[in-house]
Amino acid sequence: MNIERRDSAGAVVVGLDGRLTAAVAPLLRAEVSDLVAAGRTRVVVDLAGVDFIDSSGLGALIGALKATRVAGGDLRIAAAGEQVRQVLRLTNLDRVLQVYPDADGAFDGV
Amino acid sequence: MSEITVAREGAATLAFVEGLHGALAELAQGAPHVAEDDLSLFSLAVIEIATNIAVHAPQGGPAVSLSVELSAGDELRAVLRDSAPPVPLDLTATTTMADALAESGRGLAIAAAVCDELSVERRQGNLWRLVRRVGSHSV
Repeated sequence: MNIERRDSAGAVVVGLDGRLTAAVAPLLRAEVSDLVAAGRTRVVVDLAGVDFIDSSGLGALIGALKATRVAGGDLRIAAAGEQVRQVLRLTNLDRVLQVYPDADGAFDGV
Repeated sequence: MSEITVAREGAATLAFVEGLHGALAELAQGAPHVAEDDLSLFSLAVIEIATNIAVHAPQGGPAVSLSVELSAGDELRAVLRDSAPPVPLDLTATTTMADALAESGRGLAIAAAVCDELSVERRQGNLWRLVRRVGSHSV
């Protein structure tokens, strides 16, 4: 999995690709933890390039969500494909992590 | 219906689990009659169980080995055999979905939700069996 970071209208977009599983979940946790430590607490995780997520990947997203909220920010996910949406529904996490259509618009109007 | 089987064997590590994605893709290629949703959810269950084995493999002792056999015919089946100490696990108790903000503990619940059969036997290690019947689900 690759992680890339870019700025977008007051938020940081973290773009992932490949599989978000136990092997790489710690990388996402570390990335968001670094951002929050640097005061960047509005984070969008762009899932457009992610073709597979499992419970470890979901756990990393939830951990990252909590890290941003504790610091007064928020984490949003965007552009998730069908497999990711399926797993979010299966775990009832679609209510906690709603999918924004586009990473660059995820914090619009906030 | 012809049946296809794909097998992998190695040390129970997360790298080995990543390699299973290739095995699952091979199974999918050999089973064009199986719907994408069935394959996708079955793959998720296999990865959850294999990840569980790799993450809970005792550190410091002899390496835990893991062999995985995947097959597709009228149903999708997986058998995962590890050499780890028996898992003290009550499947009926651990298959409730975790709370929304929990960061772990969803793996077995996911596997149970997408499989028609999920069992573990202690036999010189642990023997996991997963079955998902094909084309009979709404999810």
